Amino acid sequence: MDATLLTQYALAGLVIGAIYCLMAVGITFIYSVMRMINWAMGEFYMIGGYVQYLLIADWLGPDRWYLALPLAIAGVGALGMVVQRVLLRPMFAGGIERLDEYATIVTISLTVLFRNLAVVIFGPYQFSPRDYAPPVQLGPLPVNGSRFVAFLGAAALLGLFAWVVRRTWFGLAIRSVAQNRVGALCAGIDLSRIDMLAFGIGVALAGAAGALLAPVFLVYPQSGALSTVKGFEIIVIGGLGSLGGSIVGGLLLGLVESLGSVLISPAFRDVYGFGLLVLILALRPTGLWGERAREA
Amino acid sequence: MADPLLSILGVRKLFGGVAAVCDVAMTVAAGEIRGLIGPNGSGKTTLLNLIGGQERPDGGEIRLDGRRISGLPADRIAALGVARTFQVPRVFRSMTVLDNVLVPACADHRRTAWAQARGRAETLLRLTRLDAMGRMEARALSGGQAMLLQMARCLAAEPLVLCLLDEPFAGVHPAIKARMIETIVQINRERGVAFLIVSHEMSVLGQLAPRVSVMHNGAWIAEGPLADVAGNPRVVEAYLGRGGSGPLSPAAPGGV
Repeated sequence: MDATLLTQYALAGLVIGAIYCLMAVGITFIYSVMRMINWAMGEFYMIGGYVQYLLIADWLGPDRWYLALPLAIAGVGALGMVVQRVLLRPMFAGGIERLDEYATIVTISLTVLFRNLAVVIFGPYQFSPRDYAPPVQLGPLPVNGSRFVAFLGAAALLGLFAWVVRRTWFGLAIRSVAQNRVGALCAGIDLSRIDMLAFGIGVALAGAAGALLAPVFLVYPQSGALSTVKGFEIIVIGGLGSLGGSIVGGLLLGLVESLGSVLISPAFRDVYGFGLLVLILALRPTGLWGERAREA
Repeated sequence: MADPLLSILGVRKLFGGVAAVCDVAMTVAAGEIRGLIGPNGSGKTTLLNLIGGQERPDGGEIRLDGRRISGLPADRIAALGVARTFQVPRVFRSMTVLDNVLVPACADHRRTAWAQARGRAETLLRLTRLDAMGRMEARALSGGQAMLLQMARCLAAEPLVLCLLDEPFAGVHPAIKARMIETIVQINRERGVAFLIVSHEMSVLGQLAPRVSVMHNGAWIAEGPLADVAGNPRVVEAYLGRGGSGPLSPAAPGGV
């Protein structure tokens, strides 16, 4: 096996891994704050892809792709906040007992709704905005320009996210809610506002992943399905509730898929991740950095 | 007495068919330290939950400074200056001790500068002598220290007019208990904050609170200086049971 080729595949794996990180961080973030799983994560990814495609193909033109990204992210985030406000907030009113079931039913219904809306509006076709950046030379390795942009974008967003969570008033409020909802409430934190913003930010990360990958993979109504599965794979690998675990898990999954494809066979690309998943479950059932202890 | 800070007017809370709090009426004056005692299950914590907004009353009204607060969400009540602690300390375990005390400031971060909030938090940590642990994660604290931290967080709220402390001294080391008492006295004197303290520690309440209120089976049964209340036959009956205490048992049975 040629070392250059291997490095190239490893690099490609890390690029995809960074995007997977966005999905996984979004899922675990929403879970940490609201204690619910958002099963429609992949559909927000899909919507991000469509918005990006529309902005580039129709509204802004391919030259202003750099404007399309923040617009697509903001659009998906705004949609997420509306969904939280209208469909999810009622579950917090009058008792916490039905939280899990309610969230599961609402978000699974949303996957059906969004997929079919995409079929109704855009048809069952596959779209892709064309590559907006020329290939980049990383040392001796040529990298597809759009993938490179996707990697940089994902890294920048994860950095921004980490900064907000660790260094701002808003981040402190979010962390307090994630650790103890009642304690945060009694310290004067408006839980319903934090929940709405957290859900918006979480799905905006998925939208960002969809927008960043629109030129790399195709945009179609079911395009989110696999990314939801990947997101949850990473969560299990990294540990639910751990942001660091999501990032390491995402990069690891990208690497394993990419190297598995080149070393064994590209036909089983999606199987290698599951192999890793089974291995982690056997050795560390709570994931690499699973929650140390769940708190009320 | 001037207008009371806190007025509880015929407040009632039912859980299923059980009245956890029934028709309680009491007032707390601004700057007062009031004890709230009663046997286990008498509705003290539920009353605090009703005042703090963690539960909504099924009847009656609670007023703060003449303004109706019953029915408001808990975060709004906190923003009006009512802070509380819980029997089991609800601290943010994966945050540093300092960040824990900063959380109330982020509820009104538009009005509070970071440096100002931080200065206030550090002053409180010095007052409670948790300052050496400011950078440690709260999970490393002992139970008593966590109680103390919870109280410091409660006192970090701004504005703050009323603190509801639920069993703050239970299971706490005497040295930490003494620090809690000092802190309460100092904050009460300097900032004029009123305290409503649920506790079973009569000696501490006798030291802190000029007056105590007594609850039994969800009802308010007595109020006054601890020494007087302790001799009240209804209170004795509530604590010791009817007929169990010879000469102190009530003359007229069937009163409750």
